[in-house]
Amino acid sequence: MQFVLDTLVELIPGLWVSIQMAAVAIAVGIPLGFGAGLALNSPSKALRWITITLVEIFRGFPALLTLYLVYFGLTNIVTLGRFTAVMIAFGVTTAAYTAEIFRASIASVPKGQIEAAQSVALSRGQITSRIILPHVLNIAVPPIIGIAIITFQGTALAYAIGARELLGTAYSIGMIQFRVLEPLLLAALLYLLVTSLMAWLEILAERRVARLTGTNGNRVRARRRNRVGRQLRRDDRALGLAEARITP
Amino acid sequence: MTNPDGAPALSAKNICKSFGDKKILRGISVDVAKGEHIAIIGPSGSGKSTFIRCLNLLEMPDNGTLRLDGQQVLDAELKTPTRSVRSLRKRVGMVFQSFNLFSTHTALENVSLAQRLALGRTRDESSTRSEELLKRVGLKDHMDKRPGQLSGGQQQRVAIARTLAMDPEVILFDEPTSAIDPEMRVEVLKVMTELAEGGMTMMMVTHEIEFAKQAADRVMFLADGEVMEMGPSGQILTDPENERIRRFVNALSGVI
Repeated sequence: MQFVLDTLVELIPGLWVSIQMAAVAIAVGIPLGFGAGLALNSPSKALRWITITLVEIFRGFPALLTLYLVYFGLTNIVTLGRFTAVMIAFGVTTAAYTAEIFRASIASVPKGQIEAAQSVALSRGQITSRIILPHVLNIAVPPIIGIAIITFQGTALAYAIGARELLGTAYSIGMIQFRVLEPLLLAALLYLLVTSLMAWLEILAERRVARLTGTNGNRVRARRRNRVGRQLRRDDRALGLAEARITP
Repeated sequence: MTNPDGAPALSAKNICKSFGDKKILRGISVDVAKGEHIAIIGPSGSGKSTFIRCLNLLEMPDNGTLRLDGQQVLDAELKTPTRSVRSLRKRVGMVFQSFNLFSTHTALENVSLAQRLALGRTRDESSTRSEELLKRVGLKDHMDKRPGQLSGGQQQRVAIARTLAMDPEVILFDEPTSAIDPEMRVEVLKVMTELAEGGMTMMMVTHEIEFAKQAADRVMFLADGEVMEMGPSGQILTDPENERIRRFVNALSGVI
């Protein structure tokens, strides 16, 4: 029992590193993903194609490969710290995963509302920030939280470049103490704690969407499960997390 | 219609528009005097909506010129609006068939938003003005509701208030009552009648023959992208000489 408690205390800094990694990856990835979503709706064919290519590349690459490329591959040009490498690699990965959600929610803004905004002389920037963004925030938040959950779980991959995040910490405790099961189970519990918290936020956000759009929450959830679920499962596979993800 | 100040409020010359190979507008011209109300009628596909959308550049005409109060605002032949599109839209308002309210904003915000962003009014100024306008269209108790909580007629009245808030010189209406329940139309038509009586310059695409008879000074009958006839509303809507127009008007009035 003492061992369990000691291990738990030792895992906390690792958890904190994981949370920080996920936070910066999300902070970089979501605005980038929104930008990509706008670009995917752009009238410029060139811009659309460049964006599609980038999105497909970073969605297609396993996140671990992207991380290796950034951390080891760039050493010839620039030496990055582990944390910076994680921020860049998981930032672009998260951006690529969210781009499609943003593209779809931007495309779902009724064209008439944009015309109405034009007809009262709003500029393009104002239309994006005042009409499109609120609409997107209303409908895209639940699926985006879903991606954020995956990003958080994905930080475990940083173990592969020797970062002392939650999984890495648990594993090294196990190696030092010759008892692997308890540290790993405790780490699993901590991952579960954070993802459950995020899943709970997701449900709250869904209810809010349902309230704002006047649709039934269950219907929204079912629709999301069908539409986004496919995407999430694909993302899970890409991240090698198919087993780890807890479906609510 | 006599025009005290000389220049028409809105003058469109030879407006042409094609979508791909299909010619929608084949050179439409009209001078709208200040305070004049023109109803645009015609069968579907005749280009009514496209024409009215060209007047505030939601569609960019392929050819033609636009003048507002004597000032040239568009020379489509040169492909350069001589003044910016946004400044034209501040002066020409538009009311849509499907209201197009901003669904994430309350009624009050729908009316206030562009006042702050496009006209640079302060939050206080714009709120005061919006409240005043929403009261005027009979929606005093609905200011904090979102579009989804309002009926079609209520939404359209918010949309009219949103347009009025810009203090436009001309308001364009694109079938403003077509998407509304018959019972609720009356309240929208009442607001429009009040606007007309108040001297607002209006162009309206409409199928409301009775309303057009009463509120419009002139009627423009469009067919196949051309003006088939243009004249005083009394004459065209009650006793049209042209057989095609007679059939159209009769059909709309429910006469067989």
